[in-house]
Amino acid sequence: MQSLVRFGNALGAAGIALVLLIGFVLQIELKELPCPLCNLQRLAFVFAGFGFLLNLRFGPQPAHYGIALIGALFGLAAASRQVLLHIVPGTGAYGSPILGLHLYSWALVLFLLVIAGVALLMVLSGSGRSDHDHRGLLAPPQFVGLSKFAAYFLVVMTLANAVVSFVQCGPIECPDNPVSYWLLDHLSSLG
Amino acid sequence: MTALIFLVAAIAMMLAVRGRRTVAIGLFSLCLIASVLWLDHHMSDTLSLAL
Repeated sequence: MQSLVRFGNALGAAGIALVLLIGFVLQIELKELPCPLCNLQRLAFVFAGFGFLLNLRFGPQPAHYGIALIGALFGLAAASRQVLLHIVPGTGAYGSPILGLHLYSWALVLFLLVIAGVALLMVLSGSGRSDHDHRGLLAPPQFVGLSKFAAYFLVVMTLANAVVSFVQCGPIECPDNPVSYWLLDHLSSLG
Repeated sequence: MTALIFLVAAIAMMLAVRGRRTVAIGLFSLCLIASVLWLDHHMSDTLSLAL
């Protein structure tokens, strides 16, 4: 059971890193810059992933699942807010739809999936009593293989988001409807 | 600001990977507080809804 929980946490961390990577690919492919609320949703994915990463490194603990849930709830708030901004017909939308849904709608669905996944992992984590130490916690797993790959994938995608976010928005804040990269504009104005 | 939060979150993750759990969770908490304030700052448009 412990290996299944470990696999689930690795899947969660790698899945979130993959979502962030897909966000980058779409940003470049569609030439559409993420709005401030979109960036906050990416941040929420990072927060949820942090909970999975802690489980991979230190073993599953309720506090780590709590962190993943807080991240998902924060993302749910940001995504819901953006969905509500455009839910009334005629109020427009932000960005192009992908497979019939806009990215903030997909984000809302994915945050709900993260919450469901965490709930399932918590149930599984609490079932294998023989795997638990005297405090009732699962023994820390070996931080190798898929666990290590998922953790480093997530760290790299978070760093990449920091760089891209700085290139796009600079040190202060993004405009509500960004159309160009702040750093490129800044450099071209200097040249 | 968003870039800074991402950067601090990345540092928190790297610390966690290196085994510094308490410091990592502390940095995560700072990121979360900053993000909630940042979300509140960006929720400025009025919704076209009658709730």
